Amino acid sequence: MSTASRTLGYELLKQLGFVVVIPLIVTIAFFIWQLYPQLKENVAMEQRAFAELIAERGQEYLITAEEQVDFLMPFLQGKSGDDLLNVLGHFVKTNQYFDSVYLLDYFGVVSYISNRHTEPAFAQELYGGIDMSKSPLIRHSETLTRPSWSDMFLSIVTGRLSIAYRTPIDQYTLIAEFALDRLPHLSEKLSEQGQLVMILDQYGQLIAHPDPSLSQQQINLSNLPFFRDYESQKVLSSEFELDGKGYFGSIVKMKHTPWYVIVAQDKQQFAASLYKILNMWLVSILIIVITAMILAYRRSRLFSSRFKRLIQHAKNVAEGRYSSASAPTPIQEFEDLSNSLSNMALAIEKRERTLQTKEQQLRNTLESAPNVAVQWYDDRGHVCYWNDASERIFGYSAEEAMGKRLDKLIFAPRPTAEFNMHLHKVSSGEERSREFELPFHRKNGKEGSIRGALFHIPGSDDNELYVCMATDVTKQRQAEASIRELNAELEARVEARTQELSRSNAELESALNALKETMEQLVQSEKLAALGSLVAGVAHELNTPIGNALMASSSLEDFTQRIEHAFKDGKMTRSSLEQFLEDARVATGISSRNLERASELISSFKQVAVDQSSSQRRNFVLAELVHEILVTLHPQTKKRDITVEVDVPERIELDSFPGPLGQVLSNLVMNAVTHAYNNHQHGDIEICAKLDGEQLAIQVLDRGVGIPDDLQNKIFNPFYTTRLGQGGSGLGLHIVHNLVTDVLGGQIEVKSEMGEGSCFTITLPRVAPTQHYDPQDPALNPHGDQDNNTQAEDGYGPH
Amino acid sequence: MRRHYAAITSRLLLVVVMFVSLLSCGNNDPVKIGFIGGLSGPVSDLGGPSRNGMLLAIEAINRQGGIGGHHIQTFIKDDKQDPATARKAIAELIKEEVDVIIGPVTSTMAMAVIDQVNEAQVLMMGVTVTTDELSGKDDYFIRCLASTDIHAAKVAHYLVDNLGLKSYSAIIDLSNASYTQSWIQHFEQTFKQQGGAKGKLFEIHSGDHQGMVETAAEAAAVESDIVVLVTNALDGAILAKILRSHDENIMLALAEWAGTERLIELGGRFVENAIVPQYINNNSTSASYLDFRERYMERFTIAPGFPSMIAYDATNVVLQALQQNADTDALKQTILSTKNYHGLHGDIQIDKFGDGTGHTFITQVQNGRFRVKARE
Repeated sequence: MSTASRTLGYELLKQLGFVVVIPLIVTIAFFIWQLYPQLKENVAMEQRAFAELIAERGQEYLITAEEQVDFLMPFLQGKSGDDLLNVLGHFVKTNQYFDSVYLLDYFGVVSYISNRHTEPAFAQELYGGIDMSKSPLIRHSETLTRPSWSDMFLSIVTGRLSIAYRTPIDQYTLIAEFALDRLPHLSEKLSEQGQLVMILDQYGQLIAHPDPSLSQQQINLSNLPFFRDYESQKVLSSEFELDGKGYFGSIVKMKHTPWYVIVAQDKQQFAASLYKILNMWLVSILIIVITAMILAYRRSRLFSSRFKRLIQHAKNVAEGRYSSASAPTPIQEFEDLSNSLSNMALAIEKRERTLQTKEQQLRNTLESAPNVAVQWYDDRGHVCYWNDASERIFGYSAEEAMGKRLDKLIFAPRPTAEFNMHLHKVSSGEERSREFELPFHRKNGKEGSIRGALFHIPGSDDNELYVCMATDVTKQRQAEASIRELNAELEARVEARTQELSRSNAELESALNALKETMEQLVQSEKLAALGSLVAGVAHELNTPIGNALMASSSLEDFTQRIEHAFKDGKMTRSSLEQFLEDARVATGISSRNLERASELISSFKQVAVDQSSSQRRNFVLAELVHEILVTLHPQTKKRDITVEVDVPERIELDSFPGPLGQVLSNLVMNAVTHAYNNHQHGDIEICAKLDGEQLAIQVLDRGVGIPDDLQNKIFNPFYTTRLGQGGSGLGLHIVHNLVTDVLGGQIEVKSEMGEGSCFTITLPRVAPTQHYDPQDPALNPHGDQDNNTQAEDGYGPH
Repeated sequence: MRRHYAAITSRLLLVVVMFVSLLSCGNNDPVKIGFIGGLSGPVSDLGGPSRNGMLLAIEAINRQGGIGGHHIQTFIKDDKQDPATARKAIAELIKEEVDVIIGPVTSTMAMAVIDQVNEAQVLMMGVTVTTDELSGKDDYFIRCLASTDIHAAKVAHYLVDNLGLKSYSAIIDLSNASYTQSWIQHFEQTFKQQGGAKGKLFEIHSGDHQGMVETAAEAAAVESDIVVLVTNALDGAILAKILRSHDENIMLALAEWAGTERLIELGGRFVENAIVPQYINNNSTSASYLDFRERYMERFTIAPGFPSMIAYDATNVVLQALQQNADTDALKQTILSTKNYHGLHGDIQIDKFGDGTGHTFITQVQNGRFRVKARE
């Protein structure tokens, strides 16, 4: 600020002065524009309230007077002459309001009169008969029907201005005169608090004033603004002049009579009271101003001295005397400021120490960084700082390097240009930092490479400083070169090995193909073997019935030849014929029974063969399938003295693949036949099935030797066999597993206890899932699976 | 900016100071006009209306901005028709340094205070003061009316010449002896000059009704053509009642002093047909009179009587003179040198002794109103 040369004390004093003066001015303006009229209005309101009170009291006074007259009335009724005069005389003597009472006849003439100050007979003589018809007393009273107060009039009886209370009675009007100078007593009595009380009649004539003479002077005040405009109620209070004096007064109309009460205050007195208030107010304001200014002066001195102490404190801090203490002060803000300054000083001190430490750390870091060359340059590329690592890397000492440009030290022209380009990019603010890698030559002439970054930091003055941090990457570059060579060699080797591997791979692939072929052949041979076994089984099975039938038919042939010979020889006897018939019947019976048996076998075989060769999906009854399978397996089981028990409900009908399911069952049965029981040992196998909703569970269990635990999870693997080389392919249970899971959409699990037997449980849906399976897949091909021998070897190692 | 604030502050302070000084300072010096008259008591029917007439004139001028910018301030005193009170009031007015006094309204009061005003050299403009004791004197008393002798003579002339009366008896009020004695003296003089007989004189004191009854009874017993009452209106009304109670047909004449509205109000039928001289013409239809009457009624709610008109004229004479020459010390000279003034009923002439040459109208009360019977 340009006017900063002023002191705080002066400024504070001035500001405080404003704080005092401006409200003062506002208050004064407020007084002039608001308070003064308000004060006046307050006085006026007080006056009006007072006037109302007086109006009420005046009315009470008049009403009391009226009541006296009202009280008199009954005594006047029907009286006349002296009686009447006596009543009137008694009345004027006893009441304190009315000096004269009289009765006016119809023409306004006094008929009966009594006056307090006049002897009754004389009064009647003097005043009786006076014509009042022209007097304001009865003016406008022709239609008087009820009691009322008259206008002011000059009483001929008393010679004084009076008013009268008029009451119609019979043919008369009773006039009770009331001297106006009684009202001034009232008015005087009512003039309190230095207020002037006046009563005006309806014409503005002054009828009551504390000064009795004034009320007799018929002063007309109808020109007073508040009287003139009373009806409009615009002005009820105003200033006015009366008897050479100025007043401020207010008017109120009485309710009982058409009179007005004015309460007024001497204008000078009124003004004086206002001036007094104003003066007291001004004096108090003056006192406030002076006191405020003195206090403000003292305060500002105090404040400025406190500020000076604070300034000194701040100066001390600025000059680094952090420990200088400030004087204690009772003002919270100063105390806070002082404490803040002290805290600031401590903080600055701490920060400076930290900064120093950090700078030292930084410098030490820079100096002792063994491999990072750090240099500072000015904007023209002159060296400002050169650390030890720079010295080590470039060979120039700090003294040699300082103030020189890099092209004079380490860079050839091209790197210099590049370096300058980086410098320019950074200095122009285009980029915050630049990384670079440049070749350089050492002081001893050896070439090398540095890799580094260039960025700027603020310098000590307004200049920017540019920092270059670089490391010597000469060795890395050399190492990289040798690595590149090694890499090339390695790649060549990898190439060679890859080729070898490709070759091996191809070999392996062909081996695998061969293996697959072998497996196919194996499966094919197994299929053929199975077929052969089936044929052998069927042939074996057919052998007995057909042999029996043949033997029977041969026997029948013998019997027939014998009877024929006997017949031709004539030696045929009755008994021999009967014998023949009996024999023929037996032989044909045997023959037909056995042929039926053979036919049955053939049809079963046919069904199995069709199912297993076609793998058609169809609806079939499970019990029938099991029966057919067992028929085909009968030769094997019979040979091994194995009993197969079937517990399959007749009603179970499946929509599935009967071929694969038959294969699965025959493989499992043959597996049990082969492995569960020792040769010549009797055994039994149980096949049971249970339908639970749409899920079918088939169990094939034996009570044989059992499967060891460690083998239970291997038996479904392909080529797993305990009889490798003894004819087992190791595919039996693998095929079972594949058929159950892939074709039938089910699951198979095995439970076994050593010595207790094994239980294979197949769970499969009653309706097989719709899926295609490749009948050519050797692992699924059902045909080879009829080979009981190969199956028998699966999974049962420890027989 | 700071300088600006300082300037505002100092200006506002200046305004405050000016406001305070304005409050404490008063108006410029007003013209002070005193009034003295019987505002209460038996002659209040002269005093009150006189004061009203004066006020009407002054208030009109004040509304127009006063005289040469000077507001007129009035100081009104009631002499109660009592010499001591009157002297005290005049002393107060002199002390107040009034520039001129309007009043008093009766000759007795004028005589009571004439020495005071002469001594203080304060000009006194009488209203209904007609005593000839003050006529022809170069003093500080001036008036617009002619002196009593002229009015009394006019009445005598009328009674003798117009009505052909030969005898009279008179009742005079000794409480305003300056006027009443002067009046009856000139009446008698003229009455005799015109060929009438000297009448019998009865005396009363205002307000003494007991005395009035007795006196009036005596007067009624005297054989005469007319009873002349030189009293105020109130006493005149009572006397008229008493007299006419004794003899209903008795003829009455009253001095112009009683010629106010009050006479009719109080006297009623008892003052019917009474002869009353008037200073002014109540039946006038002149524009200035009608304007005055309207304004008076508006201001005071009643009709103006002759004292109002005389006071109005007298005040206007003073005000016209002040407008001609604002130097209040030279007021007397200004008035006397101007001589001619406009009044409600024609020109007012003031002679070198400060005596007016006003008119006299002879009226008769008919049906409760003053009817002009003769002028000049």
